[in-house]
Amino acid sequence: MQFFKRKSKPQTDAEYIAAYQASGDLNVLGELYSRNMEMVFAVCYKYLRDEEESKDATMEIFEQLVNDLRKHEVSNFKSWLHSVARNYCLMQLRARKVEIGGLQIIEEDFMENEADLHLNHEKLIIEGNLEKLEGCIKKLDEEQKTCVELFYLQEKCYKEIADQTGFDLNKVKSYIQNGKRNLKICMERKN
Amino acid sequence: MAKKKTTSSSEKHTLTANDLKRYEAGEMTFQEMHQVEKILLEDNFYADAAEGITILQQEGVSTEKNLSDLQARLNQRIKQNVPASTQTFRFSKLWKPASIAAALLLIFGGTYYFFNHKNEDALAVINNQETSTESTPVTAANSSAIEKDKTTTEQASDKIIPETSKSTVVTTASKASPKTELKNAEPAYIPEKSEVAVNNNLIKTDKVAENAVSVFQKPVMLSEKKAKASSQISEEEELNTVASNASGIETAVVSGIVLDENHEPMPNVTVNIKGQADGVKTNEEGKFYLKNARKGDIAVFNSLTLPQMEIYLNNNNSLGEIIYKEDNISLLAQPKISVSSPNELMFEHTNLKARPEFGWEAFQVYLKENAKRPPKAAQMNIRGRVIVSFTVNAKGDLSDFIIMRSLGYGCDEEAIRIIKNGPKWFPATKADEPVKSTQQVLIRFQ
Repeated sequence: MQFFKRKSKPQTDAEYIAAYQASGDLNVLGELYSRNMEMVFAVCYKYLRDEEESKDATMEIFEQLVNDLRKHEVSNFKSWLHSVARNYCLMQLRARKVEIGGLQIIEEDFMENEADLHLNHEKLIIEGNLEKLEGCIKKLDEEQKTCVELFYLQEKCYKEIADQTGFDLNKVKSYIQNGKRNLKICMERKN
Repeated sequence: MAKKKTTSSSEKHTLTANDLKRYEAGEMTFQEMHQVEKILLEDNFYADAAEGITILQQEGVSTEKNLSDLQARLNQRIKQNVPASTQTFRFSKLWKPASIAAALLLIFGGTYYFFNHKNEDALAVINNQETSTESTPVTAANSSAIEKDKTTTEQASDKIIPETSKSTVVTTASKASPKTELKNAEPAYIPEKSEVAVNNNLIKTDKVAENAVSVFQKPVMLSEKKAKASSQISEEEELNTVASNASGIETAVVSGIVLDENHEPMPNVTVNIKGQADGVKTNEEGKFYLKNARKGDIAVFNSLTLPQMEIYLNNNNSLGEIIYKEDNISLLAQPKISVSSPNELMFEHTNLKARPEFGWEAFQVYLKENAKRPPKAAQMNIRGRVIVSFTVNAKGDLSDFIIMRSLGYGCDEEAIRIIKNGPKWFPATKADEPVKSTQQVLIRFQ
């Protein structure tokens, strides 16, 4: 194992996972996890809103990885990690049965994670069908259309768009998010 | 602004927490911001994390401190695991169900065989005895170790004691068939009895023997009902304390009515058996029914306004009217030891017990709200109860946590943590002086 490590240190997430699956060495997994730990902690904090609890959760999620990564083939580590982390937090919240910051926990939240795993796939489809995309953009609401065009075609950031259009920054954000979702629906229908 | 830190990561559609922090702080160029935003739109993980980071910064939580803390915990966790647990864990994961199944099979099969075999043996020996009383000494047909001879009885009984299982068969046989050979039976019986009192293992074999008795009396195939019946018979036959300890004691439903000092019924008084935290509440008429009560248990009464009261449960199933008032509790605070009149209620000495700060009701609510299943338990869908015993010292500090009933999967630790982090405790008092006491708490994980 030591030999293996010296020979080729894993670089990508996938390499780390492969190395861990081959050796079961927690050092390897720990290294991979510590790279993402701050993110996981932030995600936990978003849901749990408590420092200590989020830290405990971060450690518990690591425990889950220790077991699950041995069993599952994980192609996209980050989105998988996200769904593990999120589901864990939602379970915690559900156990608490408390609404935090108006966050309503519903079954859909859990289901949605399945979609995350296919996300990259969908992106490719969008990129491969530019003509269709243009057709779909035309069908969007005026605000959504402007923002989406500025964001995706002219590659401006939210702040620039907000300055340029006079919309509120949060409005810009939601126009783009909704516009993107509508585009996706439109594209799927055409396919 | 123009800090062109080459975020090579952003081109690969990945972000670091640092990127997000810089984005949040507005330290990025428009171009970089666009990149980050684009990734955030695509990737929910980053989007969630970004939201979390925003909240963390808004609330002024130091991520550095938490992160180094986490890193330390992670390192510790990794170190801890290095020696063995990867393999053992795998083993237990995979083989646990299989091994449990195998163990159960073995136990059931074993007991079935054992009982069957024993019955045969017992009958064989009995038959033997009956024949041997009339005829001259004959050696046992089935069990070679048991020698039946009038003249060698005493030698035989000496031998019998060390051989636990077989000796019991002999004694039962002799006990069960008193018509045949009483003189023969008695000497063997008495030494065996004393052995029972000393050795716990023997009690079990004694039970087996009792089963054999019932089988002899009514030669029917052994069933669960049969086993129960036989233990009842045995209780009647011999008032042996050791045996009654070992065999299952009957549980009963105990009922009563709780009244206040004005003889008005008291609703919502919690009644439970000491050591079993799942209690019942009195209804509008002050009535309650306690299940699973056993002779010698202590019923504990708790109300919002009064100190805890305890009552000994005796044979009778109805406690009748119980006056629950302050005077009564202190009045009863003199220990009575005599149990001469079994039908009379026995009140136990009740000095105040240790209790949680805002009372038991509030404590139950706290437990209910905070008893969350640890992820491992949730994953395996483990539900159940953990009973924790701990010491409350005279200052009200908690220590010596002991798991009386374990659930595993991290629930035990969680139970202790909940109690530790819970309300403070008032120490128990004896004659108004705070004293150290032991307390048990049940925590349910659903």
